[in-house]
Amino acid sequence: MNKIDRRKFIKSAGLAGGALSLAGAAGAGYSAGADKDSYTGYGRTNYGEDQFFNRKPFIVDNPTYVKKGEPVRITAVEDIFKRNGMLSRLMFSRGDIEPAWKPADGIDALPGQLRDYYKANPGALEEFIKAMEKGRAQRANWEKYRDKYFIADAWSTAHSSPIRGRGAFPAEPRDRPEKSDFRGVNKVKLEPKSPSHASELIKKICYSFGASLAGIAKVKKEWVYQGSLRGVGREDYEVPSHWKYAIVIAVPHEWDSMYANPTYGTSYDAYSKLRFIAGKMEVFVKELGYSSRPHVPPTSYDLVMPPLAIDAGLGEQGRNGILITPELGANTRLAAVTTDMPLEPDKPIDIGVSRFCEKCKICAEECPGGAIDFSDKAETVVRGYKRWKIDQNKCFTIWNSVATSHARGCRVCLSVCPYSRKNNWVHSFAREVDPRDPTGLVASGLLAMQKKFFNYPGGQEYLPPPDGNNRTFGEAPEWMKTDEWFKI
Amino acid sequence: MKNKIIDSIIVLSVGFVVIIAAVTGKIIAEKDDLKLIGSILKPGEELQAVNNNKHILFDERGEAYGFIYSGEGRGYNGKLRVAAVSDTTEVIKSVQVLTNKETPSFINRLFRRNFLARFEGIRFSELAAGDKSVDAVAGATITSSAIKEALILGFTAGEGLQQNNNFNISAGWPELMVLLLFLISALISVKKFSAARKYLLWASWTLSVIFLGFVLGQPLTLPRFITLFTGYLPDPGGELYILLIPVLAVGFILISGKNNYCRSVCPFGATQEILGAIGNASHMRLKRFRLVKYIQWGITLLAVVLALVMNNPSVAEYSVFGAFFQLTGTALIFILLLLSIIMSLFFRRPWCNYLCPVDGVMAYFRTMRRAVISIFKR
Amino acid sequence: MFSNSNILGPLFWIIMGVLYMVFITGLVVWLKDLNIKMNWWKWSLVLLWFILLSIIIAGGFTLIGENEMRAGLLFIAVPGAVMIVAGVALSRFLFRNRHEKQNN
Repeated sequence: MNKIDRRKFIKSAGLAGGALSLAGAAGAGYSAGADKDSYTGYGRTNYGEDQFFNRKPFIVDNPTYVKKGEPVRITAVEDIFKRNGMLSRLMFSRGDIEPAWKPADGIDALPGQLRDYYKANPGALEEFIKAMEKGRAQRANWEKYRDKYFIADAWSTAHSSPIRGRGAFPAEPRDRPEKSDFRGVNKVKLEPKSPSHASELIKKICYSFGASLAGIAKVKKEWVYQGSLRGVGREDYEVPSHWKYAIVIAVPHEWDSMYANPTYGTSYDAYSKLRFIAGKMEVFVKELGYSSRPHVPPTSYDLVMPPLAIDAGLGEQGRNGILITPELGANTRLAAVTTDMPLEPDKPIDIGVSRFCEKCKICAEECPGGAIDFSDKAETVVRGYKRWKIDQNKCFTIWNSVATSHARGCRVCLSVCPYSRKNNWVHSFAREVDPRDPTGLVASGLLAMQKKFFNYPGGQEYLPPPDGNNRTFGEAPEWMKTDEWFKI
Repeated sequence: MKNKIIDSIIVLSVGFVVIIAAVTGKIIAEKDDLKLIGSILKPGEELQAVNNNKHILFDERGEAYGFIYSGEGRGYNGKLRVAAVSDTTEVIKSVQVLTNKETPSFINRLFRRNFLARFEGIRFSELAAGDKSVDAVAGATITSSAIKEALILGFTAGEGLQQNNNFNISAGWPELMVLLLFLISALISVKKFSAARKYLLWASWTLSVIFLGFVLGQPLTLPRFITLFTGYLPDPGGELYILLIPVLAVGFILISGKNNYCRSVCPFGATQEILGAIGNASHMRLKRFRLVKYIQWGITLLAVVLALVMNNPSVAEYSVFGAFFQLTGTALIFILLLLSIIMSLFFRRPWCNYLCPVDGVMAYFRTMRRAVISIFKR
Repeated sequence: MFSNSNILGPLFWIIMGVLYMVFITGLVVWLKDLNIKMNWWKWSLVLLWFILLSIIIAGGFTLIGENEMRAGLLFIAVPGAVMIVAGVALSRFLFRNRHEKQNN
């Protein structure tokens, strides 16, 4: 009798134990998903532990971008911000002065550079005018959405404060690089034990300043702007000889708000972080006795960042034109500091991003403006390199269309990218296994799951009514929802 | 004798209800074309018709700045009307689907994926000549080709160009696969092969699950019967096999009285058989089997009537096939699917026996055959 | 895990360990009472099934923890359905050659 009871007890305890252990697995899984340690760039950054991906097995001798033809340096008019700035100054003059140019005047009445660009890119000017119209509608409609995005807008504006005006940090260079890059350089200069020591130290300092990723690249001529130089203005110039190396740093956007793009997220959280890191790095390098110049977002660059970061081994270029890194995916924002300090450059990596992008196309499907190329292979040649074409002008129209207080970006292609994932065991599995699989089957399987399991609202849905429904890719975090905190 | 009369009454009354529903649906007139096209205009813009397919577009200042071409394409469940705005140089500016009868989850997948935006910036003449192509979207091939077809037809008709009406039926491995599956199903019924019956069934089930199910994702559904009933044929040049399946399925029932499709061709029936074999499933014995069966068929009839009255076959889609083979469908359908899968492990074909809409259609044709034969025998 | 406490985390895994032990002990008794003869590869199959099930559940809940409800539920439902089918197949296989019931 006693014996049977004991058996019965063990049997029922076993059943209960099995069920409870499954519940425990569920709980452990849940907490792994909700764990703030998985928010790469918002956890263990300062000790370099956010650059956790072991790049050694994927090091390649040559970068994964494909050269086709002769490389050409980018000119100011090819940069959408600089171009739009030039055009806006003509169209919207201050005070009562007649605008220097109105759309009715036609392309031929535009000054040289702009005329050449808009002639070479038919439809681009119409797109800009459309963007201006959309911008007007955006400002008119803002009152309708203001309460809903009240916190998000305030948060974005707060993040943008170190970027604007006289108080901006780092300050814009006000001289030729030969002067300004050397201003304040310490007269005491110690010789590093070796370039590799110097690189290692610089990266550790980058992390301590808050960089999630850091890499070193040799400055290649073709990544340097042509025709406009900060501190000098519009002129053609040779690449300064003291821009030997670039310290490339990357940080992500805050993850939850980034997933809630376009309306809740902002670019400025990452931008302000980068400016602080790069600005401090400028001072640090100068204190070590070497020249330095920071290149920071949104527009204070003399170099094009993504290819530089590819050279520095941080990642590869994706279909959406954005640098994709193993740790951060497309949620990667870049800045750099150029210096003549003797450093050891990092090697580029190949984790199979372009192979994946050929199959995926989620960003193209989800782009509210249809600005991302759908073609299978990256065939468009831009300034001597093959890439997927991005229609900057269509992209900018969407900045002016989504329900934000002013045109402050969209970033949906960052949120929807399957690589943009936090650091937990589920995603790390994909992160580690996929680049080691030569057959591409893992990628196909993961992609099928990505497309079937996750809810992709589709490009149009991110737009405000009547075109869409102000959808976001992920749900907004609680701390961004106005109705949780304010009486509305 | 009595049964025969009941059979005839059922066949006639169900047929009568369905025809009334179809007529009602047709009477509720389709929307006026001009009104539909007008809905895509921006405020202040005006239209002037050139012909049925081409309209000139005027901006608020009264200047002509482009055209709207509209045309019809043959979709999965019915014709869809598509309009495209172009500038004066025939470059497509935007595309809109005005009306469609496609399953919402299907066509929404296309819209979501910026499919319509892929046409922007392409010249109509290039599209019509096939110089520039927009690829069909996997999983919605017929609908995406139909949109392209509509655009090309709208342009060629609007400009009075020679229409490229080559009616080419192309058959490939999917058609061969369907024929093979029905051939096996016929062999299974032959007494001579009764020894091989088991193997034939298993071969058929395996092939069906893999190819008809997971690769093609085209089991027979209620909307397919309804579109055929209303006299609509999708583009036979595109996917002949989706016409072949219902024709063969009904054909076998009418000729031999045997439901070959459900027994061995249907991929979800096959799935249930395989699951049943894994779990050693038994036959479920219900006390009120007849009543449950009538409820099942009643729901099917209701769905058919609703779809016909609303003139939209996709209304009648409540099967779990899409959820199982393509992972598309509502939460309710997924729950139904999960239940069916788990039940299939312990009972033979729970979906077929108690829920499947195709079962009712097949039962109707069988009853019809019986009624007709009994009349002639007398 | 338990970000507000550094006591509950280790405790949780200790309790999980105990639960696994209790589960395996119970399972041994169940199998004995059902007259199912086990050997090493049968045990591996059973444990593999259980570990896979645990991973699927944990993975799904990780996605739910990331605020991806739909993805999490599908992550559990789709492989979960496969696991149920595999479980039924496995149990039928184990029950196939069981000995005649003995009196104990």
